[in-house]
Amino acid sequence: MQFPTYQVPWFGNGMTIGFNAVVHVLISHGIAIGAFAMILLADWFDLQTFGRNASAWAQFNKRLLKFSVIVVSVVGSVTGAGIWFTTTALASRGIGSMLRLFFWPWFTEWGVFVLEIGSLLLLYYYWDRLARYRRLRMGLLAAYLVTALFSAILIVGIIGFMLTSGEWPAEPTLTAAFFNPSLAPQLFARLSLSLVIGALVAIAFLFLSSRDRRFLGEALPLFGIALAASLAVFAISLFWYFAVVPRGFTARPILAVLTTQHLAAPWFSTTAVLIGGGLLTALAIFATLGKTELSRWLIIPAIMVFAGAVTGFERLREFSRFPYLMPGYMYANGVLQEEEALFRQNGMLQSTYWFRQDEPRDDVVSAGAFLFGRNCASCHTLGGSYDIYRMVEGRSEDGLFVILGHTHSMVPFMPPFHGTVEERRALARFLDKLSQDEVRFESYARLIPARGDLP
Amino acid sequence: MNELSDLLLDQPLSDAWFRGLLFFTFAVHFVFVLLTVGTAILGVVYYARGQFDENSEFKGWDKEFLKPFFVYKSLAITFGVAPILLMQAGNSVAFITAANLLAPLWLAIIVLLIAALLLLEWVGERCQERRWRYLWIGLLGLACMVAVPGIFAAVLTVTENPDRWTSIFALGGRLPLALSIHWVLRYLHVLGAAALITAAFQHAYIVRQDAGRSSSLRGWMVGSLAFQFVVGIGLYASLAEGPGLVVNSVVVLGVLAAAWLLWTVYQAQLQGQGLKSSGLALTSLTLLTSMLLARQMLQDRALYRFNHRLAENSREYQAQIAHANLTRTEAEAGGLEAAYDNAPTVYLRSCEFCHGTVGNGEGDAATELLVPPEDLTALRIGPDAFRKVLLTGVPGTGMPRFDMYSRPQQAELMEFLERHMGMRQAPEPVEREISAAARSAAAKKFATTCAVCHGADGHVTELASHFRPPPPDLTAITFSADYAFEVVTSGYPNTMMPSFAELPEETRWALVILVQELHASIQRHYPRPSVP
Repeated sequence: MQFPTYQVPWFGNGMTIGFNAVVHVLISHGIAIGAFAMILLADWFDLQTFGRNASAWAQFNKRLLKFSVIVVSVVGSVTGAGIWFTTTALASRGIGSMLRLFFWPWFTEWGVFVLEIGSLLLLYYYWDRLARYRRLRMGLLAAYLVTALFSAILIVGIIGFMLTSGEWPAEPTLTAAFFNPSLAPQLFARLSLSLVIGALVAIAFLFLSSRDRRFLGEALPLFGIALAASLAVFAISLFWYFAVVPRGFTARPILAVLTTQHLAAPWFSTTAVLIGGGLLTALAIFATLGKTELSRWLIIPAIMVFAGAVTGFERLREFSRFPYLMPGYMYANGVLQEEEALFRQNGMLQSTYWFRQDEPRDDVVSAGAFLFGRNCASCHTLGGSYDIYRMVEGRSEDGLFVILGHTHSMVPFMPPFHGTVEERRALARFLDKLSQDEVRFESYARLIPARGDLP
Repeated sequence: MNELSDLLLDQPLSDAWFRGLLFFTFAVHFVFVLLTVGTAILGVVYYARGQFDENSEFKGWDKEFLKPFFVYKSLAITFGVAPILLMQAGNSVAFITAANLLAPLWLAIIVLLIAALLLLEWVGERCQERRWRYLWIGLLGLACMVAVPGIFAAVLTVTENPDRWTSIFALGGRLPLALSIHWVLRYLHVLGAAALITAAFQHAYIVRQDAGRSSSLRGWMVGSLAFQFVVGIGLYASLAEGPGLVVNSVVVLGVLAAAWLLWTVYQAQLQGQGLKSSGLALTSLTLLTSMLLARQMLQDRALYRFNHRLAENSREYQAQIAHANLTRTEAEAGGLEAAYDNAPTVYLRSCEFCHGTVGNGEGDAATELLVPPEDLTALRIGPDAFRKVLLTGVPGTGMPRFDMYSRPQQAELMEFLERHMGMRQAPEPVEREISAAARSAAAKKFATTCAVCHGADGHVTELASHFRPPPPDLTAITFSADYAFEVVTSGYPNTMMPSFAELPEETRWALVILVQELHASIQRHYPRPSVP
């Protein structure tokens, strides 16, 4: 293993990567695709209604466009690059390996991304000047959406691989990895959820841009229908998606969701889904019927509920992947499945550069802390998410030793322990001392115990 | 394998393609970075000038100056993705390790960049309003903005010095002195270039007609060129090794271009004349290209031997892995096959290695445990108590917490244990005839000795609740009659429960009956006998 341990204190690596990624998903899906699709829809509708509300639509479009362009080009693109930044520092071996495998799709995606942002900038700067050439402007907007779509296809192929790797690594080609079973359902799910968010944002902007009740009464149904249609497709796609996820994974989300308190199981309890789904359906119906007052009340809660649903979906998707980062090849902690035998025979401490080089540390606590960093710290933090203190509370040292030898068997979303039997004892000793609150750290992020704790 | 090795998947590109693509994509990205940072610097300075001097001739200009900021920054970020991808694919270990070593700063880039861009956009929108608050916002935005190239410069410095990684790690992510000096000079050189390129670009393409503005920008160009010369000398001196003939030639070319530029602009400034855009553009391009070429060549050279060693080591490591895998057993192979939603699978994977295939506590791991795993066949426990044990484990033993099971799953597991392992909810009554005297002795013994820990009514006392493991709540958990007799006689290994073998056998059986009577189910079904 080639990279030093680093753990974001309290929040943990997974949550940090996830938080940045979810912000990016909401913007890249909902705004970069969804909101712009709604602007196109609005433009088309304005033409269909022979410019009856031309100035109202123009104001709506301009406002939504400006908001969308700023959000996409600042927060959207920085959090997108942020996915690279967070994974590089916090899941180093994983992202390095993923990039070797998926270099060409990612590099191609970059090319598409350049076209996307380029057309976005052109649209933004020439929007008013092109008002006279409506069809040209709509064509440019459609071209932008097509580039955004291509971008999405490329990315979805890559993240779909991480859950359903298809024939890879048995057939170690890019094609086998990319065209994996969850590509199509996930694509439909993501595109429809983009349109749902887009419709919700468009409805919100309708209320922000106009007080003309007549106009609102005519404009609202447009987005109401868009909302209803995309909600329906989203629901169907979700069923399809979960149908292709391997059975072993779907049995686990129940465990996954119930395991930690701060995950808030209500996100996925039936009641929450019914209430949330009901709220969104109600809004879609009211909007389609042109009920402006009712829609006005519902729009903010609906946006919050759906944003929460998308966050939950992403979390579930990520968690269902565990214990793997790359199924059949690399565990979530960066250890390769093929390395297991080597570590079991030779040990992990012998095999890593970063332990031997950081001052000779022969004590059990340092060894245990290092092994904890390598095996566990990708998920378990000290006092934060998946708090290891909570996990080891009340356990005896011999009990920990036995449990550590069976983690993968007991908890299917955990990787097995990698190391010799002696190393497992050292880790058990370290965890036991942790549970007795006897370990102080020189560096929490690097998981280096303070010198004074040597036995 | 205690040397660093490369990642074990093949590189996607040949070396030549990698270097070529990196050069071009980084150059395009870098131009827009310079324009972004330079626009921020110059724009905020002009705004500040306008704020302090109400009659400044540059009033209103800062808005125009900041207008293209939006385009520069969008393109800088967009074009920046390619060089990061290439660096991670081509210099994987070097670049990723550097980012990891400087992780807090590296991650901070995300926040700093969003803050900088939003704040500067805000100023750009409102700077006509001439309020002090926008100056503060602008300064804050500028501070965030210029921090970002500093962090990138630090990461690249660390990338190019793998032999210093262990000291950087030991210093907690700080650079040793020599590297710090190099980093500062490199960073300043970027900032100087930003001011220079922005001033040149604005001069050549935006403010051509305006004499006053042109003059101001020429002033910036002269100043930043002079700055670059001074910093550049320092930067050159801070290079670890002699750059070599090729790099020196390229640098000389750049220096000549810079010198020509400086002389031309200075002359024009003295005479109050404009400059030919084409000449300006060509010279700037030559300068930029030569400096970027030198930079990349130095980087490639710094990493050449390192990457070569990594590749060798990874071949060796791959061989070690293959060798170890020859002796690997099939049982060790992990899998996705089993769905974890039925009791037999749960028992097999979570319980069997301690509690044994038939539930008698003789699993493979049992010998490792001081407090032996429970004999489930002899356990008598109700559903509430069973759920509690699953949820909390047994502190001080190897019995873990299984708090991720839903109530239906817990019930299914319990039913499985009852059906297949002989676990029961209620103990079987003791078959023997026990004399009243024995029962009286048992009651006395219980009250004086057992109740200290087990409580007079079977609920664990406060004292005993601190034991690890604590005694069970006898109203909720008990054993089969035979097993209970064995525990009373021999104690419970490695716990506070001692042996009472010195008591007569009949008394011990009487104790078993007494304990059974404490059990809730017994209390419900059997009336308490009157004991004198």
